[in-house]
Amino acid sequence: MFRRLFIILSILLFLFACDKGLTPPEGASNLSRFSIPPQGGNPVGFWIPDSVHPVEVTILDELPVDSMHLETRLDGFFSLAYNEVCSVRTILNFKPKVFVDTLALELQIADTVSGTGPYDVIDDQILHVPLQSTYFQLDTLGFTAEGDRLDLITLPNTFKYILEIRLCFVFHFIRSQEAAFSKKRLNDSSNLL
Amino acid sequence: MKNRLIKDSLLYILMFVLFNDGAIRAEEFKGKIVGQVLESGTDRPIFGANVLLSGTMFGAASDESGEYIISGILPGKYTISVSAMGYKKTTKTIQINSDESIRYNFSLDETPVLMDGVAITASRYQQSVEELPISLSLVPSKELSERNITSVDQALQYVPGVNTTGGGQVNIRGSSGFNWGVGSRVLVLLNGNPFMAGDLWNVNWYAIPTSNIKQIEVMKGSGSALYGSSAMGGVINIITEDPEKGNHIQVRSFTGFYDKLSHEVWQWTDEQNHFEGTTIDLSTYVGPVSVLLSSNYQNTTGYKENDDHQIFNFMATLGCNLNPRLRFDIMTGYGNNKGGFFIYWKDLRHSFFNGSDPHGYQTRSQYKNTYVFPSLSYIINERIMFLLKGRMNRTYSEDHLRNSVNNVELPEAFRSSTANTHGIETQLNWQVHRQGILVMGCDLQKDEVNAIQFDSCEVVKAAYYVQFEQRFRDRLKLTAGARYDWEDAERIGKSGDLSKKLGLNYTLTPLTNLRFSYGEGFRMPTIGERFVSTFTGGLRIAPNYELKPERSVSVEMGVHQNLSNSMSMDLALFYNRYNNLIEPQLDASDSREIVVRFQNVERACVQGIDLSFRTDWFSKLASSRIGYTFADSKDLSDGDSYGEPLKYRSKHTLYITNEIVYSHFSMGIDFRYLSQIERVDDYHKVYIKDIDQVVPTYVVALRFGYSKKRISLNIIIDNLLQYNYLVSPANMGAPRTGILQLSLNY
Repeated sequence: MFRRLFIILSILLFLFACDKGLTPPEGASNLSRFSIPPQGGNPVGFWIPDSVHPVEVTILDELPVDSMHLETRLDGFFSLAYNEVCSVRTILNFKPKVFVDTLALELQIADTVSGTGPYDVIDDQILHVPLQSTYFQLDTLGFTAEGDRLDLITLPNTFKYILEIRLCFVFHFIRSQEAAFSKKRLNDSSNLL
Repeated sequence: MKNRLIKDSLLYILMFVLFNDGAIRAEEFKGKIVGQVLESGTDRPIFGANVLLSGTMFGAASDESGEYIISGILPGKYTISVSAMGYKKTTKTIQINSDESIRYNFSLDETPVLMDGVAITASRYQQSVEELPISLSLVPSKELSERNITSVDQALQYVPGVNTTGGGQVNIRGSSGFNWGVGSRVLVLLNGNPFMAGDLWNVNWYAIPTSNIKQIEVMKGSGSALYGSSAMGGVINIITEDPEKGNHIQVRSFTGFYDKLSHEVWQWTDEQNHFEGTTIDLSTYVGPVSVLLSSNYQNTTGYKENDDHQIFNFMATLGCNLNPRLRFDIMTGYGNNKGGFFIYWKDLRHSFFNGSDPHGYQTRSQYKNTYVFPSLSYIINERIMFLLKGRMNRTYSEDHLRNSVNNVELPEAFRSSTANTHGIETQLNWQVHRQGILVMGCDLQKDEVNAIQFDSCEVVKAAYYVQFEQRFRDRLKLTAGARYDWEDAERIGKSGDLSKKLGLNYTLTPLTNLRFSYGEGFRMPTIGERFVSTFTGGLRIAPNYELKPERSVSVEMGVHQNLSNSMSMDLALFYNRYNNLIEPQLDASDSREIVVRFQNVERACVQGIDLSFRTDWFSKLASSRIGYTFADSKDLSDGDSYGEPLKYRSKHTLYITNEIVYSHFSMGIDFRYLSQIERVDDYHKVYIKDIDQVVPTYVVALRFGYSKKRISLNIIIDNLLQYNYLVSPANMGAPRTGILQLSLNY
């Protein structure tokens, strides 16, 4: 009886192990997942953050707090070349502050979003963007490119900080007139990091 | 005060040694027993058989040619018992006369069922495992070489009731969840010496060579009444080989590769990930001094981003019988581990990418561990043995940031810690009468830590313990003991803890042993938990000087049953209750800033069963083992989580190993199953993405071996079916791994 048990359990474990286990979530996104519909266009170019209003954050849910204040800042560049190589080096400063009664709970994040590699443009989405971010999913971006302006729209991201905060970002860029100079300067500064 | 305590203790030990040295000199030299232990039928010598004179402190282990010598025995009638793993235990009554040398040879019958063998951990002296009042599992050296075990924690992943996770953390019967190895609730000993880092109280497995290990003893349930803090979840004792007679050298080399990851999106490099290593062991005698040297080097690219390592370790063990009753041993070693630092993934989409590093950087770490364990043992007379042990353990760790774009490493370490542990221990084993043995001792230890993240700190610890074991009619064995631990920590103050134990083993029939044990346990907060001050994931980790010790009570009832000549079973029911468990918590109470602080928050219980079977098939051609553990944990803390399972625990674990041996060839297949963890820490969810993405673990490993006198070859395929599992939360296990190992002996 016990020997049969050995055989049966061994076979069962073998069969269960044939399963895949963990799998990554689906890669590509569809349009309906963007809270702000992207319009497409031609995103190729060397882009730097809009100095006046670089980041727009949309909170997707009503939060059970008295108020919430978000400070954001974006520095760096975003480059999409014709040879389908994307190069990004930006620092996103994200500072949520939640007020519950008189208690202010504050968190400060400086996320260096960087990477270089191939990308794909399908309709109004940039796919497989080689971005390394600690907190946010940024490898699929919707975009709206009009003249010298580029808006990059992220998928809804869930940021867990005491509460689950669902939000999406719109990054506003302008075309750089001094691309080569800016790029060199940023490379120099990154070497200092 | 502390210095005075140390001085007084040293004086006490010195006086004891000097006093007893005189007693030994005054005593007459007595009889001697010599002989050989052979395998019945084949007359092959049995190496490592334990030959013990029951009711005395005398004993010996047989050497490579099966020879043993026990000397210095007073005249009288004795029962001599001989046991070895895989053989039936045998006993003989003998008469020793003054100045007489008697020769007794023993022939042991092979048992179809693997016998439990002999262990020292449960009572601080050697006993047969089936006679113990508490569950204890043994991992023999054979399993380590067959599976190409390069780190001791890997060897524990097929022990019933034991679960190993990333970061080298070992949990016994759900004693811990997951805390990256910090504040271990399992005490690890190296030949009986505590081998824990003084700052985080974790284990530097990389510093222990695995090629010279004789066996690993895993005691389940609280061992604090004999070993003090940290033993509340159990004790793991790593026993190294005794040097053999003559000159021997063993060289073992291995190489392996990791298969391509299952999903394209997970690929973090185009390179083939691989690993390789070499171990060299040398054993010899220089005059009367036995010498065992082991060294090991291994290199791995890792299978995850920034998880490469270069490891080197070295261990030397010297031993010498200064006279028939006095023996001196010293063990010293060094380990160095240099490489990346992977704690958790970026997210499930990038599960082999490092998410714990600040972007644009990689954390590069270096760990060093140096240790010296001298010991002196006296057999004062046939009833009393005295042991004096010292220990020095120094650990050093540092973390640097490296720019991942230009690979330039920042010169200043952002985390570094040096921990020095010095200790001295005395132990007295007194065979009060034939059926009763008293074990008592004291321990003194000083931990000094200097770290960027903890600041500097000093802790002095002292402990006294006593245990008595009494046999009744060779059927019932009763054990009772207690240990008092005292601690004086800088900036904290003094505190003390008393742990008690009670155990019972009853031989119902020659095939059935019943056991019961009750044990109290405790764990002092580590220096790391009390004094840490650092940042992680944008949150500040703040110190907590008010932390209290964790406490536990464990109760176990078990039965060991030989079902037939080829089958045995062991069943244990256990209940463990924990108070003041230390966990990291979000804390907004002190200021307007939210911080993370280690706090005494949890009350909990873990109850369940441990069940194991062993059998052989087709006249010993094949053998199988199965170990199943059901551990039902409950959070009993006040609040919303009352009644919920404890964090990061698997309720079911099932390990099955099957092996076929034919002539020089062997083949084995191992299965490992852990059920999906049921609860994830909310605090971890704040900064680790997708940490709640969990699956059960199903891992199949296949191995083939060829072994002749001087050469052995092993081929191992781990995770044969490429199952994507987690070794710890947000930390993937290795993909399919192929290993080729070659060993040469001279």
